[in-house]
Amino acid sequence: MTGQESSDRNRDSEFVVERLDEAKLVQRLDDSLAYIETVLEKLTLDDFNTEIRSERNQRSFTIGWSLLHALEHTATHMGHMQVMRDMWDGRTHS
Amino acid sequence: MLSFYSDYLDRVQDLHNDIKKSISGLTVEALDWKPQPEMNSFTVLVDHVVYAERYLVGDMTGQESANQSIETAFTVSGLDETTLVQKLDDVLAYTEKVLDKFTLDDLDKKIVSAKSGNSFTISRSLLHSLEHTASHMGHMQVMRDIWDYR
Repeated sequence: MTGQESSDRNRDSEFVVERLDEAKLVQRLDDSLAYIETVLEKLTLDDFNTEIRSERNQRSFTIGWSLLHALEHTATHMGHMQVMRDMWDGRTHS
Repeated sequence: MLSFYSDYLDRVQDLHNDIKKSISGLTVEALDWKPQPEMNSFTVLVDHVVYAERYLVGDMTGQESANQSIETAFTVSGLDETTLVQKLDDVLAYTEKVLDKFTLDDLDKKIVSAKSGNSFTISRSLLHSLEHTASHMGHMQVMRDIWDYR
């Protein structure tokens, strides 16, 4: 969305992935962060107001909205994982 | 309000709506329930989110201290759903009022925390507030699932 560089995202496949180890998951996070840096480097403050269109649903958003949504989306799932980890640890300790 | 700040407000509002969904229909007893002894209740998390938004948006970004007391944080209990929803609505209205004053150039401005003496940009303060609320909303979504299926 923000960089207008298609990743050919297949959202459904994101919810069936399994059997990856910790190292692979950490590498995916690191790769994503490195990619984000390359995209953000090209942006200026004025770009936040630029309208972009989602190829998936044809809705328009600003680049600012897209970046803010990426941040709160990641934070939300991080919150899910923190509680899941607490529950997992509680389960194995009981 | 500039587009970036209305986009910001839109994201905060969505998060508040998701929090409201997570506490919808819960009794005071359920709102005070903790999945595990060392974890926080819905009421504590909502109160903490509201406190942090007022601090990060008001005290930090808007440089308008509310002189909030941290002493009762994480121990609050006995509040009902209506009271918690009102707290969320009040801080959202306050956030809108603060953001209305800002320009895009303000995002790079440095501000100093009266609490820690550390300096941050206004953008960092706003972004931290957003991801802080989102992470606790995520906690509440999973807690609601656990409550419903316990």
